[in-house]
Amino acid sequence: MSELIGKLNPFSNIPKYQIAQQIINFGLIVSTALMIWKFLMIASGSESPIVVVLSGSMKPAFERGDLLYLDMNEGPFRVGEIVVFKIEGKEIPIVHRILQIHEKSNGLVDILTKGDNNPVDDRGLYAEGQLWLNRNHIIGRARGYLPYVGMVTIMMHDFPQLKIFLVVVLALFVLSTREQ
Amino acid sequence: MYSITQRANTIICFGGMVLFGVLLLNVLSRAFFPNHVDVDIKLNSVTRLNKRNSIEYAEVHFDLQTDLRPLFNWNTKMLFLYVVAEYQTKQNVISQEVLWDHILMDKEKANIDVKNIFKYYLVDQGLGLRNNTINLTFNYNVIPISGLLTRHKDGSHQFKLNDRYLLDKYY
Amino acid sequence: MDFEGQKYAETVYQNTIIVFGILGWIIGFYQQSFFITFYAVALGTIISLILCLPNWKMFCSNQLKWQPLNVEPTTSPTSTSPKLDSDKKRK
Repeated sequence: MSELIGKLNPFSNIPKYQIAQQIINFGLIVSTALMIWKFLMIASGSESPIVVVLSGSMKPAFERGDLLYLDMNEGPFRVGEIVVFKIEGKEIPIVHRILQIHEKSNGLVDILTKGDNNPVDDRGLYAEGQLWLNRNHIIGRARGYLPYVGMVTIMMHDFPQLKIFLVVVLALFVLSTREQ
Repeated sequence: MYSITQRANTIICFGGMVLFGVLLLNVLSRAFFPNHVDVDIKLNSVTRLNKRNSIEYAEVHFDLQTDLRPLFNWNTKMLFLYVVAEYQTKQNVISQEVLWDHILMDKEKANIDVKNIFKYYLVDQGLGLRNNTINLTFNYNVIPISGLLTRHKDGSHQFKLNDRYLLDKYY
Repeated sequence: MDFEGQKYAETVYQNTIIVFGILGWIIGFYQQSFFITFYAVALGTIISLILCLPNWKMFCSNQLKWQPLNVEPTTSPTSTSPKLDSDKKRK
């Protein structure tokens, strides 16, 4: 019986030290990705420095699957900037352009946005009764742009099973590859 | 390099790296293209100035003449053009509103000469428009193939709104 | 593919893709169209795949010459080693 298990288990003929090494390698990849993300968070000042465009409301500037680099420094918001904001009660952040700003003397600012591809402004998208966005709704300003790179994320967003499948396959691959 | 999959992986990886390299050179080459344009923007007419629910609004028409063809190079995907009205009120230190915007994809259509254009109303948050000085500016936002998104301001025009309400004849 | 062939294949694919990249960039710059550059790099990659992926004869001209197998009767009996191995596994 134990022989049968030994034959079926792909890890059985790999020495233990090599399995340990693969686990450490896997951990290194994950922690490097995390380090880059955290470094970008500090450098940009935004809680989510890289976003993937999920809707076509900014066509033809941004298509679904394009990658944006955001930053969030202290400077004032200006009309024409492309910002990413999050509405209370809605999970997915929105990428749209600022149409109007009204800045008060105490530093508070009222912002109205609109998608380039939408016929009307975003009041219909905001929470009920909300007329303006404020600084705390905004995650960051779009500064850099790279097309198509986020397509994998879009696929995973559209087919959630793909995410689990991909993670399992990658994990198995990383753990069971032997160094020659 | 000892097996087919290994070779395919290395070659495709290298191709991707070279593609990223030429893309980076493309992005950097933007610095050597001219980015100055001459813009002529001026007020045509204010056909409506009124209030509704203690909010003042105005219908501002203006003329715009500019040639944006130099801005199109191999790093340009599109230009987003917009005209901003900027003013101050007792309520707000600064108010900025987009009065007109336009998406420009073709170099052939980049020589712009339009008269009497109007797209969005100028709407204040309160009663701050009458007898106020408005500054019109022409702005554009370059959306590149990839790289930095930049905004530029060129050309401005100042005018003063009427101190009495103007009603449109159809209104 | 032998060792010399692997080394040769490496220079072949690197030079092909880089030459296509440089040419594509220059032509793209003069035509002011990045699509030309993109397709040049893609074409270079496909040509390198055709050149280097299959086990062409030119990569196999330096086969290693192994020492002839010396079959000498040694003192350690070969038949016991698998048994030892399987014993190890059971524990």
